[in-house]
Amino acid sequence: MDEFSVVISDLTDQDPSRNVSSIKNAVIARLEASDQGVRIESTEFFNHTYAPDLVLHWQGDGQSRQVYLRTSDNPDYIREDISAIAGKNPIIMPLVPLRDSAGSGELETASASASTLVATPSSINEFAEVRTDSAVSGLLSHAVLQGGRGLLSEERVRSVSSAVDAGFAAAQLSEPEETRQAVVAAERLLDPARAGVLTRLLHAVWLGSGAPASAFPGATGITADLDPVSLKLLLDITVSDDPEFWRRIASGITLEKLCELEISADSESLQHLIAASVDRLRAKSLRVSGIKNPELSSLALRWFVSAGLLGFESRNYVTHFSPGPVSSMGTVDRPNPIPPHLSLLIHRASSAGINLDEITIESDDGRRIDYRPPSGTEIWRDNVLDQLASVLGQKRSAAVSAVVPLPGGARHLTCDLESLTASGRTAAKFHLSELIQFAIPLLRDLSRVESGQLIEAIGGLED
Amino acid sequence: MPGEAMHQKGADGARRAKLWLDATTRVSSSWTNEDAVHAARLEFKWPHGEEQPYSFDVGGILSGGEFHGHFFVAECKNYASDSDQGMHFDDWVAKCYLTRRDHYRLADHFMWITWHPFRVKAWNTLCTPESVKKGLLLERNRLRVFGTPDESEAESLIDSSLAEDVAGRMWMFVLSEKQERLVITPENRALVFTELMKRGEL
Repeated sequence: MDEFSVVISDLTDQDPSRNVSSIKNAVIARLEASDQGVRIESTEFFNHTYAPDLVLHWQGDGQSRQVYLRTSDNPDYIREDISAIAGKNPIIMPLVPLRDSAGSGELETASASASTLVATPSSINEFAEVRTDSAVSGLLSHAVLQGGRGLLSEERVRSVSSAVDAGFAAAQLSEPEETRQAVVAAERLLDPARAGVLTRLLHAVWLGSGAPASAFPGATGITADLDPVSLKLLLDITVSDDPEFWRRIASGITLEKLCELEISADSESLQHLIAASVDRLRAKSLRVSGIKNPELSSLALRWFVSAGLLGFESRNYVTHFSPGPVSSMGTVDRPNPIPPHLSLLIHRASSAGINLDEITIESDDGRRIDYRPPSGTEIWRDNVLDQLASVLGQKRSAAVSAVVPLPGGARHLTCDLESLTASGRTAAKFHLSELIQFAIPLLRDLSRVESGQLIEAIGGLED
Repeated sequence: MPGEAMHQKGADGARRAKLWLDATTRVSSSWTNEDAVHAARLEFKWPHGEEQPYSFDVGGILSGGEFHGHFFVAECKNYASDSDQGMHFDDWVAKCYLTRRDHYRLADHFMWITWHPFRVKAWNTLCTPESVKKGLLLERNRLRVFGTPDESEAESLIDSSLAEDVAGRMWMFVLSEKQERLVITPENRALVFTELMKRGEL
């Protein structure tokens, strides 16, 4: 006898309303255990033919689903209820297992074709029970609550969970048979939209394994591109730590698409994805801010996606990358730094081996000079600069901006030392690796450890 | 009619009564005596005699207006003729009296839901204190309710104000298959519940 059976066998309160509350609370606990993203609203109704007992809501996608609790265990009555509330695609939840009867087969057919899920609290709870550290079990229980259909026994939960788990493992190894079985199990249990999400994920993992798209077993019409929902799911679960896998996944992703999501720095998959695509993903602008995170180890650099921006945090600072112009980073904590002395900027450039072809210098009294060294001059060997600095006044001679010529010669990256941002001309885009390599070391003083982190983040320097 | 078929007909009656009550939109919770999970008691015991159990077929909570939050129990007679309804009715008033006396919180309203009328000539006296007293004073009920075969002793044990109170809480419904269909349409019902949900009143 599980805890839920105990609750419903122990309804001794003289007040039926309190018994109803006990039942509903026990059901809510089970639903929440199987899907952490669900918010549950209880209605004033109970076991009502036409009004739901609970309404499930999901943040973000605005989805909701009605739950009708049932005190009867008669499959024929459940079938009548399906026709009474047809069109709402609800979950009908008998509080105890249904009686065995000739009607069970018909009930399976009727509920599946009416996109109605018939499941007891115990069978829903089975999702929480079978959840291991497998990649997809949480995803499956979420999909079932949102779009499951048909009759769901505890046994079916176990068999579908293991089929989908096995399918994900198989797709990573390009094994068609078990991948196909997962696709079929998902399509039988879920409505087309949710089955599609799972299938696209399997497809992405399949492509990530290096297998050709045409050999993917199951649903046709699946495109190689991951939609934002599938991409989010893939990043929320830990599928693989193989760089090649992530490189293949990344081949279909842009920074714009990635920035539609919200992904916390806890996602290991996001770390893998960015590591595999710093030289592919392109941003228009970057901002360094001074938010410290002393919780982080001094060696950690963690990527996240939030408020339309990709970023990484480390112990002493945060960096945001935007697919849009500098103005798109309005929400980011705005530093108010004093621009560095010219000699400090030169020191930063020299330590990082970054040449500059234009520097704007500001004097003590606010006068500015744009200085361009003769082409080919390494800025840290330019004597004229030293003289300029002394003419402008030793107290400040602040460097307020600097332009970096990028390898290849055609593109220039402007680093603004007043706003700690970097960007190019209006339409110019830069690989994350370029921004990391050429902008961050100019925008702030980096410790040896921090420099090493950046070099590691872009996969080491090529030359 | 064999016992099993009789039982099924009774269960169907309770089920249909529940569906109809829910369709009125004035019931927020309802359950039947056939249910596997009993959210509320529908079964009680006669206090005397062999102390046998008795039960009601449907119970629940009313919603809206003057009945909001009130508890009800209902007896359902899925009958095609008047049959022995009169006899059952006399027992039912005794059950209502006892339930109100001993478990008053569980029953604000007592409903008799039948598919065939009975005692038509005395119809307008069915829900009166006299009718309650008459049921209580039948020989079998004198024994089960008061533990005495003696009519005048039983009569002295009747609480008149309680009988009056119970009579005021009795409802008589005669349903028909067609009446069960003449209820708010599923489309309109959906509008009502959707609106309530929007207003956060569901």
